[in-house]
Amino acid sequence: MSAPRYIYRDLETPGILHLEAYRASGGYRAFEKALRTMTPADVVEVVKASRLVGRGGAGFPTGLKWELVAREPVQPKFLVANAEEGEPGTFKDLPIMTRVPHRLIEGMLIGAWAVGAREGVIVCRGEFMEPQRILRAAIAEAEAAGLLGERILGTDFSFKLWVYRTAGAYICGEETSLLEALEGKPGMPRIRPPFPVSAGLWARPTALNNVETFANVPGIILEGAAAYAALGTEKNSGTKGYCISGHVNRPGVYEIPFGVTLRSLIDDYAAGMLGGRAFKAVFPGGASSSCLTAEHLDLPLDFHHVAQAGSMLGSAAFMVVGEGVCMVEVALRLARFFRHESCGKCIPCRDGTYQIVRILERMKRGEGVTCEIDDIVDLASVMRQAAFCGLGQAAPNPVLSCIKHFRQEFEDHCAGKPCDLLGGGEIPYGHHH
Amino acid sequence: MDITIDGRPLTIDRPMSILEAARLAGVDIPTLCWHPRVSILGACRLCMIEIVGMNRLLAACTTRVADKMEILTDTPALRKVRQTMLELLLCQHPMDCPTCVKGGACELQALAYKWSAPVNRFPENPGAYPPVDVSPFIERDSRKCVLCRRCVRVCHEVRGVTVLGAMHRGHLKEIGTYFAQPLNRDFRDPYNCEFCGACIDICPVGALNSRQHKFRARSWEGALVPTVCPFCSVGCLISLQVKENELVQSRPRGGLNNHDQACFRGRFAVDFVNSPRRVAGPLLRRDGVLVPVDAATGVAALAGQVRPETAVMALVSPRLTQEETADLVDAMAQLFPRGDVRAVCTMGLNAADIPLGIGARPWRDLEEADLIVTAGLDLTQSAPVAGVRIRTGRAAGGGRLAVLDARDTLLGSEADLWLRPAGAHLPAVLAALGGLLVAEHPERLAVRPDAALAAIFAAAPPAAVEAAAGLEPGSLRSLAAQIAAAKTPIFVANRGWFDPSGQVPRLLVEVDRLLAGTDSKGIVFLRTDCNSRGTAELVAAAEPEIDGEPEVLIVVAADPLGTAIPGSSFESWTRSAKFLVVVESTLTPTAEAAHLVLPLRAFAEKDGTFVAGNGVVQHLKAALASRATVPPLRATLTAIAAGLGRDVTFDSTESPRKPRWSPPERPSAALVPRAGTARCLHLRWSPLVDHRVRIVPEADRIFPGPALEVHPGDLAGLGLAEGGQARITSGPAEVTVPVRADWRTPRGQLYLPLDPGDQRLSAFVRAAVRPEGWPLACIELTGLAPAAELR
Repeated sequence: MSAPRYIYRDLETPGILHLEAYRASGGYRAFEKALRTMTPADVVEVVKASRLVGRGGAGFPTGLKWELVAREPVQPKFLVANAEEGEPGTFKDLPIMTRVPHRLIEGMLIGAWAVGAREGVIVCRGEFMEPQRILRAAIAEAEAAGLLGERILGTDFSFKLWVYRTAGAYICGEETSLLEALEGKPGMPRIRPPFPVSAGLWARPTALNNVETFANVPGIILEGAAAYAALGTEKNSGTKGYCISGHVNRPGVYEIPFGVTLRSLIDDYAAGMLGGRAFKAVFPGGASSSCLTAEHLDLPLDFHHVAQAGSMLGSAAFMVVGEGVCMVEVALRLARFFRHESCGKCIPCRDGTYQIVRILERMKRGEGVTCEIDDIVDLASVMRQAAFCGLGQAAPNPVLSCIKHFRQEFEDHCAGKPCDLLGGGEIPYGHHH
Repeated sequence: MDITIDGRPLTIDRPMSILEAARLAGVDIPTLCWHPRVSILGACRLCMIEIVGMNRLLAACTTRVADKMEILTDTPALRKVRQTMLELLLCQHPMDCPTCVKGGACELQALAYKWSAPVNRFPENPGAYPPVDVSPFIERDSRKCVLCRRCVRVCHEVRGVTVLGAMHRGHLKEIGTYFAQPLNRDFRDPYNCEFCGACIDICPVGALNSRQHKFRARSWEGALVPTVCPFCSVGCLISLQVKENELVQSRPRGGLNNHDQACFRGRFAVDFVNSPRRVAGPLLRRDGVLVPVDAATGVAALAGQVRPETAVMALVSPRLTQEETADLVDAMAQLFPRGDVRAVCTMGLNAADIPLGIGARPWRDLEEADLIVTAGLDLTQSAPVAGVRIRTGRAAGGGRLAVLDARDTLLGSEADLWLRPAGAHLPAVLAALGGLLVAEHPERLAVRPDAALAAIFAAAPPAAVEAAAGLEPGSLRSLAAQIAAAKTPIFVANRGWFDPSGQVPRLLVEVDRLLAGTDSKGIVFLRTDCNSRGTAELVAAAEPEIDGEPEVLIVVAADPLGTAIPGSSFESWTRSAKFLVVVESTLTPTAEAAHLVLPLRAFAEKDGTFVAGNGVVQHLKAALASRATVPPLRATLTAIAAGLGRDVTFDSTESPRKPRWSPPERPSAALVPRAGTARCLHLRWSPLVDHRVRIVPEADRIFPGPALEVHPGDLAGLGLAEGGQARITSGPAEVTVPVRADWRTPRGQLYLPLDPGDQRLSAFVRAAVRPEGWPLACIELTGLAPAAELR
């Protein structure tokens, strides 16, 4: 269990929140190395060689993204950190922002050097009041030390960093919606192309990465791409912050190289199932992922293998469901989340999420009809194909997978059989519109 | 690029979306949120298509065509998507199609008819919103809304009004107004509707409706008559829906001049033709009261006033068609040895006083100029569609815009350079601008100013003018630099300010000539009336026959008492005529003062020709049959001739009246107002409002009467209060008007809008104008308590 750490390195070191302790434990050495001994192209090459991919969930190669932005001949360009962390069950970025904020700043500095950006923004979701305060304080420390601002460390490189607070909507984790929110507009996805690498913030080239992605970079620069690429699986290199919650004894976030099995994650890291109950299902990538069942317990966890199993790793937010939980209730709760978080732009997402909740609520009350299970499946398949953005395309995943693996529970509800499973008999929220 | 659509080969020569390519190929891809006049949203997902070799569906509106694409538009998967989208919309849609205004013209109906499956798997939901938001003219029904946001986009992108927006998110999303304000407020309020009705046109369903139209006729009933808007000189094309000889609604149609757009007047105010205040037959003043008489009695009364030596003058407004004006000129020449015809604008000057050389450019040039300079007041409100053309041109091509407008209107807030000179100082500002061009950009000049013009410029030193007009020092210099740097600057002017001697257009002509030489026509002048340009061409050739005052005055379709400059000769002739004949379609203030009123057909009741301000000849078509007692003007003239025992011949084919380009008069000197500490009152014309607008039911709810306009921040310093009254005195003149805190007025300036027909204001202006003329009335201002408290 003592794997090398990148994102949470030195997390327990006293005072690491502040610049002094961070520098004492080797902080900002990677940035200095990049700035003084490497060209921007060198940095891009190292990141490409490390095979680092975006940690927001889509898994786009970070080096390639930076290369595309670096290649744009115009100024200004922007560097944006996605600190929305809105996917339910995800809390991997929070320790970085609240305990080693300088690692994020250092990662962004290296990114800014690589792509040629002179201004950057950390876009925090509205509810993250404390992380914002800490980040602002850390930025002030770095500015005072000459690590941010004009002519950094006596070179010609300048980088100004801001923290922006959005109004707090799940959709703002989607990159183009985040940019809309950052421009002061309602958070709604943009038409792509153009992609943010060529026309992002204020229609300028923009490198937009997840907080965790940036936090990986200092270690990669310092220790080289090979050491990083040696970790993990053939498909995904390095380490990952795995969030685990639900029916486990020690929920939390663990930095582990890619490839750990689901069984090991639950038993070795999360100290096993809560109260020794049996494992029923897990949503490996938060609310928008399809659930996996006991047959997948020995699956090596990386983007590739989880996708092959019919789900997605996403932000690696493992929500574990133990035996004895009503899966109709689980589906309903997740469906309500998406109904609430749909931005309302396109018909399939706006009205599809709404109708799925209505049907599930009736099923929950025992008023459903068996054929409506197929109506959900049918509607969900259209949503996946036709929704404007990833939110609407992924919104039916949890419900569909619950039906796929636990159809009998839905049929029992439709047949009016009393459900004695956890959450099965009650309606936790009042029936509301 | 070679592509195939449903197997049909197609060669594409420019970048375009798959939807455009399919339309070129004649392939029907259903759409709901897509509309050619607004940006692409990609929200309805009805236009999904398949591309061979790609494992996902794509929206045709947001996907660009690429070489070798094999596009499929009608597959089982696509049908499934379309059916589901329509099912999701229809299951929440109130199915009141039989009584819905949009029935028959509803895009959702048409899409459902063609594409939807006859199933509804989802329970019906009647909708969660309060049903309607009723304003005097526009009705919103959120339950019927399909959230395509076409209304939001047209309101923001085309009209720039931004009153509509998409509120909330997810299934709670609805189209709303900012701060949830109702639409039925004063149109001058911030973030309020201008009632252009563009949202009604663009709405695919019955969520936005015209209240005038509601329940008057189904969409397919009656006839749709293409004609021309009878208000300003932009020349918007409109269609009138007529059922059982009643005008049911007016809608803009695609035109060279207006690109499918109209404004409040062309859409709602044309309803004046249905007004009970129309003149239904001859009226004769007996014992001080106008009483209905038959036509013969009326004409005999006129004939009794006319002897051969009587000086008879006709005032013709540019609301008449070319044919009517020609007939009138013919009749006047033949019937009255001392007869004369003058043209009067609805607001302001003799139509012929504004030189014909002004304003001949196609409106298209507004979209292609690299710099537009507007000089006027409320351009986007007095000629809204011209404002639309400027805005859409800028959005497409990115030309620069400089605005000289004291009032805070749309163009100013969007301009690259916005100067807010106090209204009465506009001539001085233009003179100073000319001087700066001459002094600082001599290389840019095509001709040098002659001595007279140089003297006028010299009388307007920029620093003094900036100080007097309330401009930042140096702002005129930067405007001059922008003009000098532009290849094809266009000046756009209107009649918003109070400029009795027409200094502004004259100065613009001079500045334009300096830049581009004698033949330059770099000016667009937005006249107030539909046929101003045509009328000016017809009457310019007529030499004045009468010196002094006419004894008999025949006013045709004009309202000098309501809209001529107070104190002008038009107004005083009207007051002093021994016998005043008014030929009118509505009972205007002038008609109410007449000795004889003869009926006139309104624009919807006659065929004819209008020449729009840009010179485009457009045809008016009779949509309504008028009453037997309302003959065409030619018949009225013939009857007058018969009453005089004379004959008149109308010779429209061989007209001696050739259009004549009269060189503009030179501007006068003495432009610069004396800087002083006295408080100045600036006069302006109320945009949008003339008598025909006033008689439209409920128009007064959004176009309230005139008030002293003061910036909210200036109220306290002036001892005024919102809702209170102000007594304005200037020498012998005095008037008491309500006070309005008006955010469009700049700080430190006071405006009084002249409202057609408000006789108290006319009297005030008549008495206040100094012998040396307006620009400025130095006033005393006294704040009074609200009327209620006085009692």
